[in-house]
Amino acid sequence: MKTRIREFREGLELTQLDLATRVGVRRETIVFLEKGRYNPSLKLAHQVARIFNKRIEEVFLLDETGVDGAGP
Amino acid sequence: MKNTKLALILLGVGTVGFLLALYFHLSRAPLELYQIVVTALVLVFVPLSALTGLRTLRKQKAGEPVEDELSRRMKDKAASRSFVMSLYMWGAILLITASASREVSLSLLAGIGGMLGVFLVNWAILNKDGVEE
Repeated sequence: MKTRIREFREGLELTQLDLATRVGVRRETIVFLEKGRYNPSLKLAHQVARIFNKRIEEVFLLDETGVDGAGP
Repeated sequence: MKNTKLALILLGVGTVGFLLALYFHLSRAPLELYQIVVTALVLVFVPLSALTGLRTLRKQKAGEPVEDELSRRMKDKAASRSFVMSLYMWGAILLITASASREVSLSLLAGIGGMLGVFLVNWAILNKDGVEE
């Protein structure tokens, strides 16, 4: 799944560690999310979107082909 | 508390290292294959465990979470893959040892059956309670 986390995070001048601390996960998880290598839980997706004051679908972009390569 | 944990990690590594050195010092005969395998496992797993422990302590000190949903999911995936792979491994060992000893084969069958039983119990519990993440 593609995300715009990096774009929004840099817009708020947050580091990966800052964002990780705010949503209560490890920095590595933010790295995985930004690289599109991890599909987060709905709860984490909500938390991340709330930090950026965006809707989930603005932050996490569903691949229309249905092939995201990072399924659970 | 963190200093106690650090001391425990260092004490554990030191003890294992000391015992291994003592063992090599005292054993005169050349090492057998199983001794070499056990030594290699100790030399791999003890430093790895110590490094993991030190990393965890460092994260705790920095106020970072040590575990989160991704690390839990990775552990779950690794565990499920390991479970399936170990079933195949035990099956292969069972085939190899089948002709050698009936008792060993029965023990292996009991172990494999036990693994499947535990799996079914956990599957039933998860079906009843649901999965949170």
